[in-house]
Amino acid sequence: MNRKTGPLKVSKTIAGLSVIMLLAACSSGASDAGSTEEAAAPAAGEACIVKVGVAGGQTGGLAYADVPHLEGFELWAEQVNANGGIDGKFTIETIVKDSRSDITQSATVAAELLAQGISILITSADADPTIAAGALAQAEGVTAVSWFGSAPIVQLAAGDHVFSNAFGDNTQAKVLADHATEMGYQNAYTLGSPDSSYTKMLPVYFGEAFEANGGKVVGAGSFSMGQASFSVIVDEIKALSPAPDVIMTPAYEPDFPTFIKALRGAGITAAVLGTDGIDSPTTLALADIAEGVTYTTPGVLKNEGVMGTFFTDYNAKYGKDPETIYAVTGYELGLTLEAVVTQAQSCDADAIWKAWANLEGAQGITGKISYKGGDGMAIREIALIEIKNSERSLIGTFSPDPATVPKAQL
Amino acid sequence: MRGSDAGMQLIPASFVATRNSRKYTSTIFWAIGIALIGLVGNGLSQAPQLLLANSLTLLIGVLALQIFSGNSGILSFGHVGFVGVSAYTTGILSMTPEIKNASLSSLPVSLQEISLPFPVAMICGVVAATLVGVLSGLVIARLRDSASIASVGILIIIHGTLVGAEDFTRGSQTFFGVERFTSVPVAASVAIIALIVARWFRDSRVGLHVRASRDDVISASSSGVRVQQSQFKAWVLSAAVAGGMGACYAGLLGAFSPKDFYFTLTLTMLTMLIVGGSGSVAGAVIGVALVMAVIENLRKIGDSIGLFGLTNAGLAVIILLTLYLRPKGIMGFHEPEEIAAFGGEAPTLTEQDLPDGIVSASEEVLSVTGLTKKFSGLVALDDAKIFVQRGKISGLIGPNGSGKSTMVNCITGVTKADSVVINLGPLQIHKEHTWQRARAGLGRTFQNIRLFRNLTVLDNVVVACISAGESVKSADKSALALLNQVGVLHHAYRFAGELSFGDQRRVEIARALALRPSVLLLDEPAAGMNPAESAALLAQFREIMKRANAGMLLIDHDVTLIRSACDSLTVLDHGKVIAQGNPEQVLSLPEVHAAYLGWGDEPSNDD
Repeated sequence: MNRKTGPLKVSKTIAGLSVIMLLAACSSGASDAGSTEEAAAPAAGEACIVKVGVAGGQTGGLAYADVPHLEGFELWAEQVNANGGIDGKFTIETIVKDSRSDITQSATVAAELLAQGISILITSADADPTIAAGALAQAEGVTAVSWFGSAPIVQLAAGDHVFSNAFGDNTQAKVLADHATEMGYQNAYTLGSPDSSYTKMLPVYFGEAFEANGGKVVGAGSFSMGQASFSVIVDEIKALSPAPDVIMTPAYEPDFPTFIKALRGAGITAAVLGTDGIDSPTTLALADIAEGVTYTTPGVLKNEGVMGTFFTDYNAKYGKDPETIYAVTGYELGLTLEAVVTQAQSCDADAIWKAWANLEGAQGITGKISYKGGDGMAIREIALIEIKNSERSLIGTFSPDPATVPKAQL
Repeated sequence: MRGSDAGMQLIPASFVATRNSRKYTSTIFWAIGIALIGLVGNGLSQAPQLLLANSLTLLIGVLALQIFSGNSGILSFGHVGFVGVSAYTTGILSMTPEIKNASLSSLPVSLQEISLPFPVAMICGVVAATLVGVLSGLVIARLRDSASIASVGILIIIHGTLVGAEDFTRGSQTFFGVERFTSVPVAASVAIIALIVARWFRDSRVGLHVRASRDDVISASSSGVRVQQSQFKAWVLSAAVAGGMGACYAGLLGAFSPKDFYFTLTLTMLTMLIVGGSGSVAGAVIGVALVMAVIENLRKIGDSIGLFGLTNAGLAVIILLTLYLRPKGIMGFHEPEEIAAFGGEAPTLTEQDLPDGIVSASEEVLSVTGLTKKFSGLVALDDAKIFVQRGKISGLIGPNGSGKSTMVNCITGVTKADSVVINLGPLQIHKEHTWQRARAGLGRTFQNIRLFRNLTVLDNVVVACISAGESVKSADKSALALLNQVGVLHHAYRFAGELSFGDQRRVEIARALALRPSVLLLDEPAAGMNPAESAALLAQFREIMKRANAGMLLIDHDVTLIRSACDSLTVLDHGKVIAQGNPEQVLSLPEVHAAYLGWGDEPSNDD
């Protein structure tokens, strides 16, 4: 008897608990809503708190980018607050909520943060959650900035209050195309993948920019992310006439190493251009095979110069060196906010948005950062790196004129 | 085993006594709960609204999984694909031409101009998911053990198609611009529909057949269940319900991409179903509520103390605890109202409910001749024959390995004979499947009892009554009468797996009788019974024969039983019939002694 009624009792208890827990979850959300009242902003120029809501993927598939960004940003916030805030009066309060790298959860936590009266919302380094969360911020008139989502469509999809701390894929492609033209390459082959927006659109933008420069795309291949062999694609490249003198691909691990091994193994010596996805120790570990590979990245992570100071401060706070350039770009998002608030002289969401949309020449670590005329994407220096003797060697930093960059495609 | 207890008092026994009242109780209870959430949720601020709308949307999908995976026992990884198909369809059909012009410029002109009201687009989404369900179901229905793996393939194919169909979906890029139509009341309304569908399907004719096949495919076919067809219907229905989730998902955030309809969402939904208990609708609801509550509360705690992995750790603990403490999930295979019904009064029957026995003139109801079966050269049956007459018991004996079970399997269609002529009354049996032979009047029991262990005793018999063409309601009545006939009526609401060995045998016989067979094939029905039980069983056989107006083929080692029960006897040895005729005469033949015991003595009981 007891054995039989057991499940019923247990299920009732659990059902009851679940309902209570769900209600608890909802009611705390409701109390968040109540606090919107506090957001009555002081007049321009008066001291106030800049509430920054972060709806990032602290766990899950986007944590690899979102976590180091937050680390960099929190270092900046700590430094600013230690100096009495931006301009000595605008202190920073960071509220972090984990989106678990999930699009729906991103929207939910963004709604919670907006209900808390934030001045600005920061979202994941990916277009999907940025568009979902950004649309809510747009409706509230609050600026939303992606940690580093590089698809240049956030404003088109979610509205003019949505930005990204990253350069657009179109701009990155333009830098590569200009480099190819400068090197005197005539015929290009591009290799993309329909599996992600990044791998799909970068070759398209590159081709457009390269042909605008007078080059010719003689072939465009397609791969599946994670595919085991590139021999068919390499054979296809070998058979091209005229043979390409440059190959551009946004492939990254594990596809890039597999591809370049097959390519060099087949004796093809054409120059290879890559994108920021291959800025990793794996690429350097390819030794001779990767020699001469040139790629774009936000900056070179090196403990020297201005970045050396960042290394020291980061190490003092976290007890380790930054492992990725994303810690630097996270810090730079803080520096951008500093420039914006300095200009707006306000914690008011609308004032911040206006200043953000018109920002020009804010000083970052890797270079200057602007938003005016960037269609929501940061106009920032792009470093071009060549691998020499298994080390990163900086060719230079570039910031193409937005007017010459291929138009973002929906 | 029965009596009052705290668990059942909430639902009065009289109210849970019938299948319909249980179904109504359950549906109304959950529907009111969800409707309340829908009403209350509408007044909350945006974040909790999103949480509730998302939870309800997930509930629709988990209910879809319950309909197929829960009832069939085949874990599906493919349903999120249907969610995706429906979400894109709903999005494309509901978006305004202006937005489509900007974001889906390559869309065919005919689709560019369409802008349906959102609810209509949602219905189209469900239709699209159903169509994909029909196509994929044609494959899934043919598989059993490998169906789960095939469902992974279906997910990958649908994902690849969504990525590849760039003109329609923007490929891997974010699809955006869909109206945010899915408010809490909208999601609640669709969830209520999904819940009603899932709960009603569970106790429908097809639902009962699918659940029977979950527990035992061979025994289900032998009870007349068209396993493939039932599986197909469950798959298509669940695809349609998954389409309901997709339609809601489209309007939840208004933006998504193919990667949102892939393994992460699949695993989230499967976790909910497995934690709650896949075998019941209540399990699906409790799984979603519990997992969402844990995720949300732990996330909030984690956010407030800066410990971000807390949610995943909590989920891992819940899954491990569930698998350890309740491998079948919190609710197991049963709805709460079913467990409560078991605690209620045992059913009773009035005399009028008992069918009258009819004894008609003896005629041949089964004749099997020329039965030959070889397994890779080994001759299992060589030109064997057997006959059964109405109202008579034909015995079949033979030493181990003589071909008795092969003969039964060939007659019932479980094994394909190399050559045979079978006449079942006026019907000639050729290539008919097991379920067709069962429906044509071949009822059987198994040497090792094969009941549907997770179904109630009543439902075990109802499954076969339905195969015989009865509606669920009349099947319930007939099944109770049959259970009464074999003496296990008082166990009707218990789960078959919990009965004693002898009672399980009786249920198996009742299930075979439910097919209204002209022939009953009983494979060692007295195995494991003591002499007193065997004698009682024999008396029951006579009574059963009279009532069922059937013939019986009795296979047993118990020579005393065979001798006293059978009207004729066939002896098999090395696949050949070595003697056939009057039991007394057959048993006294020296060659039977030699074959059966290996020497010339009369066979006895102690072998």
